[in-house]
Amino acid sequence: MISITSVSHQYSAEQALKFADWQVNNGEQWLLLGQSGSGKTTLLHILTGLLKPTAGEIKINDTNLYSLSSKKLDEFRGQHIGIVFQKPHLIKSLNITENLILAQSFAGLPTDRNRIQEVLASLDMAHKKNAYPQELSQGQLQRVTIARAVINKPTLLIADEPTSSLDDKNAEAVLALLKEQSELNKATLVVATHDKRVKDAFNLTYSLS
Amino acid sequence: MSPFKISWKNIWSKPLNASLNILLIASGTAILTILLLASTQIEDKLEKNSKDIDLVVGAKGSPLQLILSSIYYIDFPTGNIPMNEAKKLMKSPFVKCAVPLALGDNYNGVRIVGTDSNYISLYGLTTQSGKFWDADLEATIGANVAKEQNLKVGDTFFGGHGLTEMKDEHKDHAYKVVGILAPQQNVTDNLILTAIGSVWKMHGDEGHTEEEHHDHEHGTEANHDEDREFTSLLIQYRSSMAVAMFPMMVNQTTNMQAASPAQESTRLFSLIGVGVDTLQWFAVLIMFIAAISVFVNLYNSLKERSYDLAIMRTLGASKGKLFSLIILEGLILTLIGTLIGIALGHGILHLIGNYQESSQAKMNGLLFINEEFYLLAAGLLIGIVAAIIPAIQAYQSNISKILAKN
Repeated sequence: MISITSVSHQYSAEQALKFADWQVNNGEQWLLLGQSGSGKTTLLHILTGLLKPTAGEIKINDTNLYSLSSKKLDEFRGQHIGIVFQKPHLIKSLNITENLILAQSFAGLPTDRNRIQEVLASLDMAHKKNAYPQELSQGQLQRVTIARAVINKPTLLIADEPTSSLDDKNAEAVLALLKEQSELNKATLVVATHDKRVKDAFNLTYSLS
Repeated sequence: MSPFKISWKNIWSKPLNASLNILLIASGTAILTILLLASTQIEDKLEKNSKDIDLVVGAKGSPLQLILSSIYYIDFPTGNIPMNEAKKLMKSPFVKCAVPLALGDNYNGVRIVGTDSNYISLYGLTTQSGKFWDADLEATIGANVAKEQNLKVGDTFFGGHGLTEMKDEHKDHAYKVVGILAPQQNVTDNLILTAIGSVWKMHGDEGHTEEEHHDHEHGTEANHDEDREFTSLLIQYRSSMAVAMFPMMVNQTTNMQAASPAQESTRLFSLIGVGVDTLQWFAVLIMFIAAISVFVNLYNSLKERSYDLAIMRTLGASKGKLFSLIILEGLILTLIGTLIGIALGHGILHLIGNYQESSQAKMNGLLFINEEFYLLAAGLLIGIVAAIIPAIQAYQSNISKILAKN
């Protein structure tokens, strides 16, 4: 369960963002809707432990994120939160399998090649496991970043504008993949977007104004 | 996945940059290694070969040349000294031990040294086979000479006139090898030792052997001694008082000169030292450029990689982990460079040694010395110093800002 309580963030004296309280139950799939500049990215960063809010509390599975030490918070993020960014970004010097091993070891978990095989297979990418990022298409890279986000069976899977640079067909496909993977890995899904095409795919919506 | 592997993979994702850095560090280290090894070996040789010799007396000329020719067997002798005069000095109360030398011949470039049995005790020589020279034309050869010239006990050879080339062989008299020295790790490894009479036989007495026999029979040896000459005398003092008195006496009251190996070696080394210093600074400059190159490389790649590093943070890597990844990259680059440099230094020095003509000053590239660990440490330090600023920047980078920008 994820809860945010009276969270606000202030970048500067005149630019303050206030966020309404939010409760997300395990396994739910949410849409985080808001225009550019509405604080979507800020909220996502606060939610994932990347940005400490000026005030308020964020709890994931009863862990108060910002009460953890910096090192513990990094580890917690690695183990419990998977993030898919708008632009798929992998470490160029490592191949696909190594990129996934990296995600396991940075989270402080042992290397599990079976799990890597399993995740790549579920995303239909097993045949590319020894390829380097520059050999893959944009769409394939997107799949691998989803694989990386779910590799450690996170509690929370977060996607930031995963569809904004895709055409209708691909946007639909990526959404389907995200929903499928969050169900498969029993992760709570939060998709942040300003993309109206995504709306219909979700029942639960948290809107930023 | 180990941090080492991550750093390693990242370094080689840009092979040209990595190679340039390694090349620079290796060049600097190689030059420093060569200088270090060469100067240690030269110093070592200078010291070892002159350790028990307080003074050399020879014909007037350059004192350095006298030392080089009589102790290191490198340069030409300054000339000869009359035996009668030399004998007077040998009997001086200041002198504990005096060894006469007669130089001037060689065998395939190996110097033939005519001397007496005091030479054995002065250098503490021992034989590995055979015996020491005794009669004229008997020769005891150094360990290296036996190996390189393929000579063994019982072999005979002809000496050539001069110090380097086999010109004008003395075909009348053949030397006979009677013994081979155990390796001494000093000049005697590369010498042929014989009785002083052998050298006389080859030269002054050569034309009039008949006459000589004649003279002997008539007991006029005293007159004959007038013509005989040494090349130089190696002298050990009896007391420290001699240090002040004896050289002055020789230089002022006789037609000969006295030169101190300690003084001349120091002078020689200070002459070489200027060149060594210059090269040393040059090498340090290269190392400095290498450090800057590694720094620029890491700093620039950090800009390109800031998003990579941010992603690593989202995957659970701590700030400290990123810091150590960058430091590790600097260390890997400089460690490889330093190791290659040290190996290169040894290789080049060995190559130089193989092409060196003078066997006495031969460099050995296979000797390792403790000071090389300082080079290794210096290399690692450069790696850390060059990587520290980029590493701190990686440590302090604001992940949220970097991710939001893209």
